[in-house]
Amino acid sequence: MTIPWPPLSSLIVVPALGALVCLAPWFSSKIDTKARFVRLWALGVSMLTLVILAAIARAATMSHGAVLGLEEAHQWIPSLGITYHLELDGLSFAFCLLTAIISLAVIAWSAKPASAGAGWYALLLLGEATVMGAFLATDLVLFYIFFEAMLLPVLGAMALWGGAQRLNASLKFLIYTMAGSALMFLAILYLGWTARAMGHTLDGNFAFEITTLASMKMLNPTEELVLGLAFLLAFAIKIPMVPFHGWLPDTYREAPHGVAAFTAALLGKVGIYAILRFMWPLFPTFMVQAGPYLAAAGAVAVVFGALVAMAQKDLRSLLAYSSISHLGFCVLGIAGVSTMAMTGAVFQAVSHGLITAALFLTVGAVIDRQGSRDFDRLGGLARSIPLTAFFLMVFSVAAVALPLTSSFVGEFLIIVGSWKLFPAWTTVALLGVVLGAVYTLTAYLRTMFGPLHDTDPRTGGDIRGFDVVVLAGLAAAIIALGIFPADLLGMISPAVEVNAVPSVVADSSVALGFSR
Amino acid sequence: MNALVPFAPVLALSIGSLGYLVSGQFLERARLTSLFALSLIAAAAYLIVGLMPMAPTLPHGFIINDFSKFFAVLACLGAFVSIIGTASSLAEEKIGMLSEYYFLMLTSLCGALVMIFASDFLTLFIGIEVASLALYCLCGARVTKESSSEAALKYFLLGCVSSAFMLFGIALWYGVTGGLAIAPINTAGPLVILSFVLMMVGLAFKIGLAPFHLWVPDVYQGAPTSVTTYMSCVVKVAAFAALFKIALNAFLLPTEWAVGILWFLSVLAMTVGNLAALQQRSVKRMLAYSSVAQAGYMLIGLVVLGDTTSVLASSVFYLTGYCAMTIGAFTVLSVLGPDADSVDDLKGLVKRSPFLATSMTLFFLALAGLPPSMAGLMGKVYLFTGALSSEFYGLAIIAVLNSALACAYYFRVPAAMLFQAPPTSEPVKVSVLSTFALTFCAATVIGIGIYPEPLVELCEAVAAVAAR
Repeated sequence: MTIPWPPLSSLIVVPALGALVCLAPWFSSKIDTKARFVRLWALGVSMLTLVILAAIARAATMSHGAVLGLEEAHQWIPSLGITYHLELDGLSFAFCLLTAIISLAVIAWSAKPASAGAGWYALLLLGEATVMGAFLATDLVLFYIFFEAMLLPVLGAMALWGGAQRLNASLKFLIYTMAGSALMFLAILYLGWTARAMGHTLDGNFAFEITTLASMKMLNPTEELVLGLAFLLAFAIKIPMVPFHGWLPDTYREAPHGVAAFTAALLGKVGIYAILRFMWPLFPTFMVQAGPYLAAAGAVAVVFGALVAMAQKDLRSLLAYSSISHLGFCVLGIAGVSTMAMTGAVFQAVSHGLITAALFLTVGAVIDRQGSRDFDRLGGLARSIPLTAFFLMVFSVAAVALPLTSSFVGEFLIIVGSWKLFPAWTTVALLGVVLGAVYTLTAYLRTMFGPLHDTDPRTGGDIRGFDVVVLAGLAAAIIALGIFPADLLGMISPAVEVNAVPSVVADSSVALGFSR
Repeated sequence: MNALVPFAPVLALSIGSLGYLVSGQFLERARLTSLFALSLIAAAAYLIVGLMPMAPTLPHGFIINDFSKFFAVLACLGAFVSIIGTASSLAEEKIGMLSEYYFLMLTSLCGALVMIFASDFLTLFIGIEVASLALYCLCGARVTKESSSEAALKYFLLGCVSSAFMLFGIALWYGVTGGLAIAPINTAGPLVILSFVLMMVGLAFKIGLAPFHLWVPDVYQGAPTSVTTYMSCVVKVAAFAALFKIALNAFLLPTEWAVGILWFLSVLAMTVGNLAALQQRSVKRMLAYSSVAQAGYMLIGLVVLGDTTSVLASSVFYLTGYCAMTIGAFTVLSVLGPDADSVDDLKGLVKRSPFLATSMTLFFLALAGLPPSMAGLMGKVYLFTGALSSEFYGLAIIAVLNSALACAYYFRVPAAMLFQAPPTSEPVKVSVLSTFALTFCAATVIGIGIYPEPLVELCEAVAAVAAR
């Protein structure tokens, strides 16, 4: 397919260049810029990225109908068979849209660490560029590069502006993810080499492009098992799935609010996305076999996350574990061959990204105001900060998947889609929904109602100005997706069907009729 | 006269460096001395690239092909950049006589070139000794510091033992074949194996492969930083050239027994190096152990050598990238002062000099194999793909787990520089020359990563002629 205009690369290049410009004053003391200008610049850049994404999608839907399917491919390292290959289909689009929105929201959010200057915006923009790259790349080596690269801005921002234990938390995060991706790195190289060894590539060279690799069907079941496990480990740590979540509480406790929002909303989604984009087409047999285990892991995560969240005394830790719980649904959704559940999982991933980012920002505002994140020192805030309380209510309600919010659509599709495949695990996950309602609403009550604990707030005041716009925008997106999900579902569903559902085992009875 | 043409680069260096001894008193001005050394190295590199193809016949004792030319140019480039990068910090290091310092450095480079060009074992041994003797003295060049003399003595004593092993191996080779040429033989008796093992011990010592790496941390730490910068690159390049040449031409790798030995050396080096580096607070010792581990990775291309030489190209590629990383990292340390060594000395460097901190971060990310400086990452893609293609799964898995483990200590230095408060807010002055060298190294580690194709093709060409 022809290269669209603006090219897909601009989604990566624009924020990356924007970040470098932010850093300019850092290198030369002669360039003295006011923090306000840097913020406006960063806002402009992330806004531009969103506009470019919209323009690309619009141009594509105008010319090809509802189905997105844009590619940009260049030779990169011909002697190693590595290409620079980006693709934007409905699946990528959903996640790219999420990335653009979340980056814009986090950059626009006014509360940031006191010492953070231009570097803050530079790292956020770099984060946006690298995550975008991970969602667009279809060459496995290119994907791996973005997969590793997206860690660094987040790590940097956390280590620079995090809490007291920030260095330990960053090191833990780094080790976990590096350990996870090391074997995937080898698995990728093995795939590239197998393609050559089987003589499938035209020029007798390695191949790393996903559609080429997937169409070869070159792996025997043992290879699928070993390579699939190597991939799965990397993504299980990134999402994180339950026994691999050791890095998450520390990271979310120590990271600044904006970074926590960014990480929670976007990094884990790369794992969900990659399982659909890479693992299902590459290892269909393995995925079908692993399905029940994945479903079990997802359902257990839903309940485990909810139970641990109940026991938390700290608002941010509660959010961290609730995130594990909600992502459990996504894992359940991508475990089985059902277009409906997979579409639901993607939708739920987008919805969870929006909601969790909004929650981290709002809760951040509460914590900053009160100087404490401990339930015992919070309470009765509804009277003193009504606007924050209102938004927290909206997002809490969205988090427990009330109808008319986006997460209702996502969880509903996942549950209905998975029901036929994994009835037991779906039931377990349903139990988690109830638990989720309990801890979320309890937390809300304990924070916002009851006696006011701290009569001398540190920074004082309700959210105001631009921050209201940010939260209102996120709330609008959540509700809009809840009421009119069909457009986005109509983009995701065919892409999921083409990419992830293996043709041999496709279950046509659960196919959706969302395509326009 | 024509017969001398192939020796022109070596002659230019050795005769030119004699100038320092003759005119030492007149050449004590820092700028002039370094400029003279740089122009000699540039002339040697020019002669290697430009004049050598005109060599009329193959001279006795030297082999001139793309393989030796590539390594020779790489050694010259490494010496050139490390001299540029560290020239301005020599005064602070209190190096006794500048003319002697540069004489020794050029002599050692001359020895390195002889090692690279040698086509028989005797020439090779002379090269090794010339390079090493000069380096022993250089390590002790910081006469006012005890650890510098200690490093020199340690390096000298252990170096002599390793030379003895090498010489014994050569003697056995002579006994079996009746000649000294680095050329294939048909027998593979126990004496040949013993000769290989002894020569490997000698070269593994020079490269710094575990278990012959014990001198590396002490020498890297004790020697003046400028000398460490130089030898971390040039010695590795020359010793690897010698190792590849011997292994491919004399012992006709891949043979089963030799592969076993090299596999073991490679795994031991990367594991021991990384585990030891985890413990270090001293950046120089950390980089020293990391060099042991990195040498283990570089050996992979030789271990997994199949019926084609193209996997050897991956080792050459990785070595090239590694030179830029290690020269860069040690240059940053030398700019920070003669005694900058502990991780604590680097705390908050970003506040004192954003340029130094950024470039050091790039070098450490490259060593760890992370973007954006992807020379290391691309090198690993290349190396591990080679290992997998030759079905060395165990080696590939051990290597990749090692490189994940290494992130734990490579992270420590950037973390100290970027995320911790500086002890003083005094800015660090970086001289123009050092800035140039660091920019060059940083551009190399990024450039090789982003556009590796030309270097990959060059390395393939080099590897193709590695075996005559």
